[in-house]
Amino acid sequence: MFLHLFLYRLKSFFRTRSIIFWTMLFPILLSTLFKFAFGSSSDILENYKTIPVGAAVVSENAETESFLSILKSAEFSKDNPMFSIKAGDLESSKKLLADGQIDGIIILDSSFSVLFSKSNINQSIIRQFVNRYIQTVKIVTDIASVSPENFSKTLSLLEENPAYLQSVTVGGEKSDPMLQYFYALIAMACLYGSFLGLQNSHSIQANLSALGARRHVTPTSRKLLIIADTLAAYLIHFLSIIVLYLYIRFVLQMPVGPQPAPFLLICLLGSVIGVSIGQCVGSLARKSENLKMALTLGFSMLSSIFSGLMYADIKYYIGKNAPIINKINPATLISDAFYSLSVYSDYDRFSSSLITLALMSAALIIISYFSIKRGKYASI
Amino acid sequence: MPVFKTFLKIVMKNKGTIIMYLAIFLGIAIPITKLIPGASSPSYSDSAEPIAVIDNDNSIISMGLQNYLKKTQRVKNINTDADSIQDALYFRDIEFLVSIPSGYEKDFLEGTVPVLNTTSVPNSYSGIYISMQIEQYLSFLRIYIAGGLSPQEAVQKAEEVMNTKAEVSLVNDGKTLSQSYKFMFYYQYIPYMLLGILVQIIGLIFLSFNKEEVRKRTLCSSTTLRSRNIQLFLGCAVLGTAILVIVLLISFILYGSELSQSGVFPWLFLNSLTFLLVSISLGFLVGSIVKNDNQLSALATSIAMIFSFLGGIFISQELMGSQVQKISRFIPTYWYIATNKILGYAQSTEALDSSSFLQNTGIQLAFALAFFSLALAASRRKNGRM
Repeated sequence: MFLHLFLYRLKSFFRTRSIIFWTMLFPILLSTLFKFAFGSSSDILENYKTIPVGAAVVSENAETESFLSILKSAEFSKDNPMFSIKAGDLESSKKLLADGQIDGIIILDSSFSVLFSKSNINQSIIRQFVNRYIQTVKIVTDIASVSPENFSKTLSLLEENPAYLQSVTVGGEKSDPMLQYFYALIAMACLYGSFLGLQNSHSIQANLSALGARRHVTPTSRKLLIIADTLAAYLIHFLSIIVLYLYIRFVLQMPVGPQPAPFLLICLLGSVIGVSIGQCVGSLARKSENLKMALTLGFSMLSSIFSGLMYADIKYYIGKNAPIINKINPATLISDAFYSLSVYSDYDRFSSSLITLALMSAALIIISYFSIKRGKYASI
Repeated sequence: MPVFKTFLKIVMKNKGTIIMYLAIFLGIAIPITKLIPGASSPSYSDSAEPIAVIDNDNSIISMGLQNYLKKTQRVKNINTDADSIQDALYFRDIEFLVSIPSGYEKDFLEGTVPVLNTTSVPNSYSGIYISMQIEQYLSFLRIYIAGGLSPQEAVQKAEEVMNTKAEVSLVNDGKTLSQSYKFMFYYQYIPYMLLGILVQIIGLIFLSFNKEEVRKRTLCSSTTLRSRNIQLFLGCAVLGTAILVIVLLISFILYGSELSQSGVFPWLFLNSLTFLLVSISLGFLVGSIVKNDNQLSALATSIAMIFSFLGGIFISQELMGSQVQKISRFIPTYWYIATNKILGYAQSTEALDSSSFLQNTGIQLAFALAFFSLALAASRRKNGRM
């Protein structure tokens, strides 16, 4: 009996296309967008575009000559030059700067200086470039005076660029800053399980749907119905999160979830809390289906945005101003758990997040169970 | 005006959607403007960030590096056990951590390049910047040591070189600002909200009015088709204006003085009004191609997300790959953001190059027209007449 109910509930979920869209296709679409929009952090140099500058030669000498030739030949990546020189004197450069046609002016006098009209990424690239040049000039003259015998050997070191640093997590693994967006995304997908929960509570309450009324008159125990529905929702949702995980990991090639076992445990708890939120909203509010849908969607969206889905620093802003929100916001708890697992290797925070999630789910399940089970309808 | 009244009724029934998107919008826009300048200039500047150094080497080189960092960043003392480090990074007491293993100087002097482990808070621009500084420092140090200098001398020289910098000056041309206005970020998120609300609600209204029975009933009533369409347009205009007015009012409450001083408000208004037309026409289009509520909300949410991510609302256009940027030109939000960026830095209306403003606005209007024509074509095909 139970198996029959369970299987047919699964079948019915699979045939509800809007549910499959929200729980499976939408997160996949969004993760693809993330991948597209961020690019991969490794080819960040290829993404930079040539910066238009003015090189204002005030006094012409050998040094300005050599600087100009380096300026012209610098490249972000192959065939992607760093700078294009739009003007060669101060007068016309200033005019172009005022019109916003160049990002900065490099003034080549006895000493070099730079002139900007705003400060942004391109301006700091220009400044870094000029700094690097004058620093190199200084070091070359220094070496030439203190140890001319080592001059050529030392100079060859300038060309070398060995790795001096390596970015690791506290636990010693390499880390990728883009991952946090993907964790927030998986947290969002977990909360979208609320659509499944909503559907569940809708199709079991006699005053909400024809299906609910029909199921209410069966002799099958309500407890069995509720348990079969709920477990089916957990299973479907957990499966779609796994599909999302596999998609992000193997199709988009983002290294999420390096330790699959605890990672999947978070996904499971995330699925449970998502479904439970939907079930609880559906069982409590005797309002229109539209309103409940908007409520669950709105809650999931707000909750995931506060966990950093669209702008990562929001979580820290909230942490500073209203830390209690971060402690009970399910999306933040889920993404924190992912985070402490892979970035901080911190099992204390990992387990405390999971415990809070489990407690919240338990509370929601109890509320909705009793509120649905109690329902008796003398007439509808 | 029965059609208009029904229009408003449907809107009121869906006020949940409106409130949700307004809440999301304010939920992002207000914290972001509070977090500036962190948001406006990814800290490529010389601002000092809180960092920590774990020094297990206690050698001349490691002390030299520490001293250099102490002068350029805010070096904090933290406990060096893993838990404290995790907490410090998690709560952002420090942005960056570098640990120097024992024996570092010995390896360094022997000419091998030992690797230092660094940890920064995820997605941190300042972390990238500090890494670059340390790498440069170490490369200079390496050259001086190879040049035969003693570690003491080399440390001193390397720091000296690091401090050799080109002088930077900012011109104030009376037209553009060096830092953007805070309201730029507020206005940046407006299209997301407009799309979210209007595509969903106008789509829903078109879906309801074009239902077979409803349409037939309206056709055989005394209301002429023309009057029905005019009332529908009126409804869209009222709804759109109401939302825009709310949003603009809030912007005045939050950034009143900045807005009035900048003098660019009329242009901000025009830009958002143009985008309002885009959103409404997109609502028409979506409403005339979807078959039911479920398809509608799926399509509306996806459009709002895709347009916002690829158009440069959530992620700055500069940070996207060049391929993605080419695609994003085919998205109306791209052109809204282009104007918004000019306005965000404009010190007076002189900074507005009228040709680029006209171009950006013209392209948005062309999008609106295209969506609208497509919507007409789609509903003709579906219903014979509209």
